[in-house]
Amino acid sequence: MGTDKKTGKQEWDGQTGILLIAHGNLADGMLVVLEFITGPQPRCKALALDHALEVEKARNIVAVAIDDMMSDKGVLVLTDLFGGAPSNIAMSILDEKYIEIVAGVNLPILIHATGLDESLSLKEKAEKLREYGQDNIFVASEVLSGDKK
Amino acid sequence: MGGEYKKCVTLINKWGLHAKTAFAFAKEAMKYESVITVEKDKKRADGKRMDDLLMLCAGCGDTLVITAVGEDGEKALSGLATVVSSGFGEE
Repeated sequence: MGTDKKTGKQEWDGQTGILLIAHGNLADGMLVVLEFITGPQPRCKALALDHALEVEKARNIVAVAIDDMMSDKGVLVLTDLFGGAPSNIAMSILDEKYIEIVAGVNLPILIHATGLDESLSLKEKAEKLREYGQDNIFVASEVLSGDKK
Repeated sequence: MGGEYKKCVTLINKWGLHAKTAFAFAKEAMKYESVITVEKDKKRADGKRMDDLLMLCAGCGDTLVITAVGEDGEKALSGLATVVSSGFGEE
């Protein structure tokens, strides 16, 4: 990915790496949409988990992807569903690497993730994303009638 | 604290203020120190927040009132009005 071979540093050092893992083609699709909206995001990577893989093989693939995206600020792993295979595999690595996981990603979360205050800790960033994702789900009729926001 | 500058601009691109254009507007607004607000039909949004801008539900033909308050307010207003008036580079 964007690692400088001489220094071993990521081109996005100073910014958190973002790894999106989801079922089927969801992660790839979300990354395409993100880049359509925001422009290129070299510090974001999408990973589709193949359910035909053995668990240990899948775990290795996720671990390598996390290492690819690792920066001095760590990696935020965004998964589609808490308890799903992508989330469970990421959670099995939680204690080994400098990562935080947010499960239940939506497009507002993903867009917001690219603009987070980098002075926050990884845990604080994850909490901000959860809050932001929850706050950005609307019943449209309530918004239009002025009952909300 | 600088002055307050205000300008009305009409959305001319086909989809108006949608995800990509709201992001582009907020990104342009972030370049300036001034406080930027955008109003449409008495609804007001923080011009530096994409999610807030999307709540305006502003479509093609709608008029936005952009207000910039701060030292670089005039420059901000000019930059933002240019972005909107150019249709954000869209059709």
